[in-house]
Amino acid sequence: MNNDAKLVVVALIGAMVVGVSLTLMPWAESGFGFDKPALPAWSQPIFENPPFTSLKPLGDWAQSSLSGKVDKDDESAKGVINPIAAGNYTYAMAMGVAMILAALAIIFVGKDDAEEKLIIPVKK
Amino acid sequence: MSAYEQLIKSGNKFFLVFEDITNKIMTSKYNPLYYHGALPQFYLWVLYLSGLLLFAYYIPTVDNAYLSKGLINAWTSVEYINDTIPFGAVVRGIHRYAGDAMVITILLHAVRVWFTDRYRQYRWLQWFSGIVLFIMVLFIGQTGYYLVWDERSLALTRMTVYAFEGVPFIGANLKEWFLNGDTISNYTMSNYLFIHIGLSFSLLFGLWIHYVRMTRPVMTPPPAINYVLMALLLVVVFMFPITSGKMATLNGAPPSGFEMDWFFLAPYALMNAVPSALVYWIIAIGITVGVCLLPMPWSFLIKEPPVEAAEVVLNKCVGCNLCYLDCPYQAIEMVPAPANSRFKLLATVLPYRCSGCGVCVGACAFDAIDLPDLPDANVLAQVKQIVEAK
Repeated sequence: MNNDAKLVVVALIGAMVVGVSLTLMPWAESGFGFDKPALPAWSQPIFENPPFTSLKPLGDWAQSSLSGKVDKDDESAKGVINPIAAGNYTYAMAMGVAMILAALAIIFVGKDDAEEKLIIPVKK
Repeated sequence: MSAYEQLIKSGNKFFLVFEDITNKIMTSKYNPLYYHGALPQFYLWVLYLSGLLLFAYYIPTVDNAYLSKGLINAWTSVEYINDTIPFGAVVRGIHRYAGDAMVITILLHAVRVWFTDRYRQYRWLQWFSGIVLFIMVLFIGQTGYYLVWDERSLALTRMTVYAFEGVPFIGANLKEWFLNGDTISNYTMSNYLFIHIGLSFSLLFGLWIHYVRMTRPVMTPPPAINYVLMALLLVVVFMFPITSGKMATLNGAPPSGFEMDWFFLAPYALMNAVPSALVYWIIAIGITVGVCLLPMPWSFLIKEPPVEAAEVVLNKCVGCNLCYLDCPYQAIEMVPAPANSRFKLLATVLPYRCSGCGVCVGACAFDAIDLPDLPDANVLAQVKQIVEAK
């Protein structure tokens, strides 16, 4: 693949990453709970697609899992985490996982440059 | 060999083995051990940015007289950030855990610098300024805990007042400075916020001193490491969500205990364990001074060989700047050449900064600088011998 083609692929992947992030954010704002009225109107058709509806258990799992970690004495949370907060936390963790994958990709691509070469200088 | 030297040697060996393993996994280009000084600084930028976002909604008051009417104080503003602001809880978690991560990475940096023997002689300024920076970071982190204004904040405030009052002669003044008055009030919270933010930005000045004697300090890890550092934060934020305790009430019963964050609140555990505030200060100051003195060879009665400073061969130096640019310790200065010289500048070595590392010898294209006991030709012959032997 020549350099121009690589640039096009990188640009497409970049656009895809931004697109997925922006789509995920309003979903996270609803706590991954598909509370349709809470979603922006423009995003509602997107969330009716099976790839998204099949992810609902993730939001439910995050809420129950995080609720177990909330202090029972917390006056505000009353031991149960807000579904919207659970969505925010899960979105942040998804970003974390994406960053680890990005780091692995960078390390894989940059590995060739990391080999050290010994050159003994010759002085005149 | 003394027990201390044995310890350093074992530590150095451990790091060499560990480096080898991490190099095999991540390659030398992405080995975090080669960026150990830059790791805490990455977290510092994260703290600045997340702190800025929290500052937008934080209100530094203790006054809760009109709470029933919805008036916000520090605790309720933190709850508002946590429960209402989009991603507020995540940003708060990032701010909290980035602080912890900064302390961990500073300690790793210090241990590695110590065991790889890069803290003595010409590096004393970096060691000393590093300890001052670490104490500043601890205090900034502690003021962060006061700002939440839950029961733990109140308990920590009272313990700090107790410690300050125990300082002979100036205890009362320290207490008044800390509380910004005689008692805990809204002015106290303003003071906490001022210390927390003001001291955080003072870190930049401290970092300048930390770097001033280094020519090319590595201040930023490569992007791949930055991603991993940030990702770790986000995963920890998810695993351990941050919640406040009950709101502090000035006239209420004091809490019987509170959750400990050992990275920042360890001094309070010490304070709790010793019989008086004076003993606490003696131990705390003793530890700090002891660690500061580590670079001094006489503190462990080690006789160090004198450093053989590089010497400039005056009739060969053309004033080209190469050695000046390459010296890692800023031990070379370019001065105006004598009137009878063909060149404008002349390199001079500042012996008290020179480590005798030989970088300048390698940089010079004119054989105009040498280590007195290690001529350039001998070094090259030794390197060739080693390479050929392989």
